[in-house]
Amino acid sequence: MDNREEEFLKRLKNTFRIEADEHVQTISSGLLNLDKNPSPQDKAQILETIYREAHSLKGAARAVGMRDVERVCQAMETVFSMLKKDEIQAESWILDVLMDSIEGVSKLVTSEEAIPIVELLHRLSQIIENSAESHNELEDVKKDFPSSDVVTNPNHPTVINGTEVRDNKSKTEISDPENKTFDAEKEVSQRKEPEIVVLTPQASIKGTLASQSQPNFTPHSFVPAPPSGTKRTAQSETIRIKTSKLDSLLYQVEEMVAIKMAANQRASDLRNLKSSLDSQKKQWLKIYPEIRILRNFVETLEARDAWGTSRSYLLKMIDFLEANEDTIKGLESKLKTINSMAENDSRQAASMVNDLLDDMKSVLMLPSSTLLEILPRLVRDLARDQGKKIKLTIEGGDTEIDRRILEEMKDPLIHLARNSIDHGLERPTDRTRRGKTEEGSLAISIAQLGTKKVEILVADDGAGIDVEKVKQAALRKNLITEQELRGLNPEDTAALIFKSEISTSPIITDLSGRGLGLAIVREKVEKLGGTVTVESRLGIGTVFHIQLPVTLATFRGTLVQVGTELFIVPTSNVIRVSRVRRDSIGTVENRDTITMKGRVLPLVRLADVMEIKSEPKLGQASEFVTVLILGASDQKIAFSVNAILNEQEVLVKSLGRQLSRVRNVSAATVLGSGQVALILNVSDLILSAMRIAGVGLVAHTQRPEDEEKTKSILVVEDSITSRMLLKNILESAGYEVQTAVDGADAWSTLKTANFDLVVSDVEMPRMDGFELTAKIRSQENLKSLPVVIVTSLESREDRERGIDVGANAYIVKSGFEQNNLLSVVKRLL
Amino acid sequence: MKDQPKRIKDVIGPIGTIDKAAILKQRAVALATRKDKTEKESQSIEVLVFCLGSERYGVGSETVREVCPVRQITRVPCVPSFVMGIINVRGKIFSVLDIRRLLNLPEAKSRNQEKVIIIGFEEMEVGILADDILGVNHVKIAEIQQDIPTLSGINEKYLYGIVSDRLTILNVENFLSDKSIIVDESV
Repeated sequence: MDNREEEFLKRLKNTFRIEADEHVQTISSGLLNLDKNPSPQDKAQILETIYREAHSLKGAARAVGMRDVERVCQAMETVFSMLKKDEIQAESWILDVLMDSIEGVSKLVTSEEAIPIVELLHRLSQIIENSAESHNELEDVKKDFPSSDVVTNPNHPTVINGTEVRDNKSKTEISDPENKTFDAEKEVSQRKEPEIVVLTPQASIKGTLASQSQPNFTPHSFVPAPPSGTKRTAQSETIRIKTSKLDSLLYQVEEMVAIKMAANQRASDLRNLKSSLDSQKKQWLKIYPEIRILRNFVETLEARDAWGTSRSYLLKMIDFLEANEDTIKGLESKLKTINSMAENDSRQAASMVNDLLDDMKSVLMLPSSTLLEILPRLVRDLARDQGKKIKLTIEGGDTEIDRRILEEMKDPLIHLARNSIDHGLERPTDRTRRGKTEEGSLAISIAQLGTKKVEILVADDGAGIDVEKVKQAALRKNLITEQELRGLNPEDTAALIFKSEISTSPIITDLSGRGLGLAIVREKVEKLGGTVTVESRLGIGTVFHIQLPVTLATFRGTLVQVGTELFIVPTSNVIRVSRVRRDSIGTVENRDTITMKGRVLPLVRLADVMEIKSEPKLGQASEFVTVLILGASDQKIAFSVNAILNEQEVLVKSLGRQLSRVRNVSAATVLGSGQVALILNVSDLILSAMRIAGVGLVAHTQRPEDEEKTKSILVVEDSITSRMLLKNILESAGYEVQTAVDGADAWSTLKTANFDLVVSDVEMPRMDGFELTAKIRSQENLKSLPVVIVTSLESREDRERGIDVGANAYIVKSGFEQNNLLSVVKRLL
Repeated sequence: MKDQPKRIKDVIGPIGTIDKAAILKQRAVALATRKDKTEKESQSIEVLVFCLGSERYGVGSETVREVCPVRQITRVPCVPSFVMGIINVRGKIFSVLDIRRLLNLPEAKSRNQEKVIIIGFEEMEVGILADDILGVNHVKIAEIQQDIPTLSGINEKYLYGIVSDRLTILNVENFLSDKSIIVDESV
């Protein structure tokens, strides 16, 4: 009994979680919209919606016994109701409290994590108590609400037709410098308004804004929280299915690819069998005349003859041979039938499985709003932290994309948005100075390109990419030579920002500036089979174009043999396969190389890279070496293998949790023969190959002479614990470390000894970290000494002060990780 | 027919009503106690027993997902030696581990290694290598010896204990939730 009850409660809670997620999402996006100063009419609608959502959530929480959720919702409901009645106004601090509350609720619901309930409730009750006092100021505040502003509802974005026009718009904004950006913005806004109206009924389909169609609906008549099903009666065309169920369905359908391949294998086995029978038939036809002659001869033999006694045996044997041939003929015709049936079945299975898989993939497509809905909150928070004003427009949320692609694109999109806010959009004062609107614009849109592709645009009207800075950064990192730079057009130069380690940011922070982000964006996008390009005009803005397939393409792999084992190499990484003469292999610094189209490529044995013992003699016997040229992220290396067998469709299978990540191997697959083969990870292979082949390969990206000398670092920190910690971390990473107890101490130490880098705390007696940094920067011989500020202060002002005084990196202790510090230090040295 | 009531009467007749109740209660208590005792004595776990080399091992049968015959294990390069390779069980890939190597025991002179037992705990599922499956036994918990001095040096936390007839019982929960068996390496 207990078990069953527990089980039931568990299931109930799971259901509740799904429902609660939806309420939380609606309330959050409602709150975000309130923050955008909506028109009074829109505002009323939003409040109505979130009020009802809070009420429903409260009811549901009570049902599953989540008292804390219920209490927070209760308080929020009260606040919403006061907002509705205009007893209080949606001031920023109130929205912050509500935002924190809903986030708290979300945490409670999803992870049952402990949150400061008492504090939240206290803050909420403060709003309620304050209302009496602020009641009188109401009229003044009301006037401040502009009525023409547009509401962008992230959940229910605009229709596709609008999006396409909008895309062109963003492009013209960038490519046409005379066209003042804010004018274009206005135009878009005006066009957008009616769309919002059109969308309202559509929005109710989602079941979250159901009350919008009944404006006179009074919340008091709304007693029990209705089961979520009743709200959705209007929407009979869709049903809700657990994603886990769909995933398992897709998994099973994908599994049928194995059957398809097996069927194909069987058919080809039968074909081979038939052709070996064919060759038997040819031999028979050749020998048949002779058998006829033999029979005639034997039949003429008389019993008296010397051969006479063998006559009957010989005749028996000839009879048998002829009868045997008849049997084989019979088998052959049966085989022929079976063969053609098998071929048919295989073809049919193939087309059915392919269709099924396509349909299944389209079932798995989700509106991209699921990806986009994380952005409003993110943008709002970042903008607030950085003191920027940003207007976020999101379009094309109803464009459908494979769920797996959406999931993979989450990080890149967050990164691009963050990038635009961090590096692109300027602060209001800077914008005004440059003749732009105070409010920066960040537009993210998704649109369908034909049937197979989508394009994601991330456009800002910020400062644009400073091509000169990019060039310098690329030169500094030895990623490109000056000569090569001269040959590049501006677009190609801008594309350099996708290279790893390029950053134009003057300071490294926890957020960005490390120059890794865009490289990761490109890697992810390319992994999904897409492309990313950037367009930018200095001072006008930047647009990132990401083109992606709508569904994940079938994975194709090249089957290679290494030693006796079979491996799959992703075909997308195979640049070329070739056979090279053994004597054409050259050596550079004792490493094997081959020349391909005038370029010298390092050649390594795949078996060595994979750490497989195989007899090299086998390959050496032949005059030729089979070579596979693989490429990943701009690196190309030739690998020698024993054989390249074929190129085929591959069903990627995870190696399971125990083998979470294996060096050089990314996954596995089952071949048509039923054999399991590993799928290789080409980026890993290239790194491993470089390691094996030694520094020679990577020399151009490093400065060997610097490697020799141990770097010395000065740690400035007043707390002895932190000081020892930093010293330990840095020393164990092989640096020579000296310490100073405050800025003044450090300053005198700096005068007596040479250091390669300074790591400093901010708050210290006598001289703080900022002052120390400023002093270092003012001194001629120390001007270029890198300074990393490690601090517990996580405020924008401080970070900006860090930039102002000339620190190279600013790491916040709260997010302080050993690796973080070491990677920053390594980057600066 | 006539005998029966007579016999009962014979037994309880002289004792009287109150005593009857007392006896019944006593009996009830005795029964209950005995039952409790037997339960405790016989509290046992069900283990799947298999052999690997000359040793016998047991895993709690609730952790066993399935047992499958395996013809071919695909070797995986660049992994620790306790990972024998991967197998395909109806379309799903499982890694196959050699528990002797996991326990830091010398490699067993295995005969055939034709069976893989898929064991699972929470999200983690792996196959372990076996020469043969010997069956399912009930092992009384009281009989499992948990501190075995001779076992020092091996990964004790992976062991539940040893039963007197030299059956080593593995602690599947412990070793499947041990992060150190997870291979998570990049170049």
